[in-house]
Amino acid sequence: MERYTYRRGSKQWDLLAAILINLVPTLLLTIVFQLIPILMASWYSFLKINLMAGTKQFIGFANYLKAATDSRFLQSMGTTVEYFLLRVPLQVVFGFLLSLIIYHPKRWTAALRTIIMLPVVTSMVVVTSILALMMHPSNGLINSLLVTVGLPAQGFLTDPKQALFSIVLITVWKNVGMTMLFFLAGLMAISPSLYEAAIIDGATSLQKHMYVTIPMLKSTFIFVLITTTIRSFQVFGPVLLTTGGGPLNTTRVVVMDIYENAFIFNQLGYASTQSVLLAVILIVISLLQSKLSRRRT
Amino acid sequence: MKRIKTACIALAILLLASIFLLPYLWMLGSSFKSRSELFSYVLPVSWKTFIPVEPTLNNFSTLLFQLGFARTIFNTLALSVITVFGSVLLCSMAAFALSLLDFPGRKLAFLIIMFTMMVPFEARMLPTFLVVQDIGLSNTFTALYLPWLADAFLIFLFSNHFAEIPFDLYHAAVIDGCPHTRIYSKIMLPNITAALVSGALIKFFFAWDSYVWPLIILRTNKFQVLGVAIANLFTDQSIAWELIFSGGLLSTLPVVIIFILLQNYYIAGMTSGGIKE
Repeated sequence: MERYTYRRGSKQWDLLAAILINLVPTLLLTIVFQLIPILMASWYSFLKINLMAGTKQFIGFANYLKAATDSRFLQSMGTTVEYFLLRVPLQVVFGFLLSLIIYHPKRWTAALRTIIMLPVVTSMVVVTSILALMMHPSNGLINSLLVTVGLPAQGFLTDPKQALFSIVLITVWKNVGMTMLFFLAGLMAISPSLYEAAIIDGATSLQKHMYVTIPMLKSTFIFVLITTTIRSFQVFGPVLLTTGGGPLNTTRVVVMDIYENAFIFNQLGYASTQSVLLAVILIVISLLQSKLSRRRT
Repeated sequence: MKRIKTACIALAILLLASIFLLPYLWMLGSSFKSRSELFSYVLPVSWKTFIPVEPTLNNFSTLLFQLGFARTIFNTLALSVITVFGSVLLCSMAAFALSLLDFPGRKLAFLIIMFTMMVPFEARMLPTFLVVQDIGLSNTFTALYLPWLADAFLIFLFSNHFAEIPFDLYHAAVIDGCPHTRIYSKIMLPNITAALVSGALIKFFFAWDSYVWPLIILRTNKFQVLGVAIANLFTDQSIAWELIFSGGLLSTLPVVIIFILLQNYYIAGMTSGGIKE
């Protein structure tokens, strides 16, 4: 890659000015609002902070030890993993199937793609509110439809057994369009000659997908799996809005626990520790992605 | 036989489309219903569940004139416009410097931006709140957009597009006497307008969707945004369904119109924003 190079001590003032003017504002904002908070949380994770007395006390790894034995936190980790295990296969498989439907250009594909993408751009608060109202036990549209066709009404977000899966449904409904788009981009990149060769060899349409589409989309699958995993560990808005972690704590995901410790119980040190732990998990997953995607090229 | 197959496919496609459209149709119809009508046609499901028999605009006037939604929409619009222009400008400038210029510390700047990209907002919600509070910005309008202007995703998106411009273009401009400080605006920016639109759309949908951040950083209603206002209607004890539908419609309409008009730019941006060094 060609670049204009500024060397230390050179007299290319206009080049130096161009570098500073263009880069400094963004770099400064990144440092102040992103890097410093991360460093601050790392430091706070070793402190016991008393807001009332205004004191900060260094307590070493005590917060980390607490996290390792805090049943509430561990349970929220478990719930997050459960959420991840429910959401990722559903969103990836559904997104992949949708991309196969949309891929072959027909009169209706463009319209269908637009419709499937609408929830992606609609505000999370609106999507969550409307779907939660649809899932309302007594007046919701879904129960009305179920009862109309003779099925029993469900509790959805109010039923401890169904609440987490209801949130999975809301988030998958909202985000599956994005997954579909990534698969579509992958499908476009497959050379048609591969399919022609498969047809000449007598492949059925299922075999065509098994032996051409899926192997050729391997890197897309890795990318989609990892980004959806990261999103799963971040889930928060829909939980805060609908259940607040209930019923019976069945939807208390990690970020919900952090939020409560930080903004309701004012345990700033401990909430920082939890934030650091979550950040470490997400960084590890991100690094895994860049390692996997580097291997293929 | 062929006709039956076509009919089956058409039915399947219609069913699929209705999975995604039904909530929108329900919201659209219900937002013009009074509360009593809303709950009259819950069961059995009929056309009256979706289409108002006696359409009314009362919900909208209640929202706009009694519950302050006129102000809320203005705030959200202002927040979105400032976020879009600020971040597209700043991120494209940074992308220009990082992708076309080399200097001591370039790798470090790149690393800082990439590292922060790996830690999403949810994991630094608390410390970001504390930093914004410490620099005295909590409860200000500035706090709503300033932390969101620098965006690694946009920087990588624009960098990829700058990298595709033939370098000779830059070289020729320098030989013709154009100073480096003016290359960005004169030569480079006009060549990535499509990417700028993509970035603007991504940021617009993001800012319009603001919810958790304003919820924790604002303590007054003065700068209230749509996300929080609708969430408040939803979590309110006397849950007013008809207002949630109308508020939801007010929030969704502009987004859907913009998306339908400019979706190709949005899709191109979302699927091309990968990191290339």
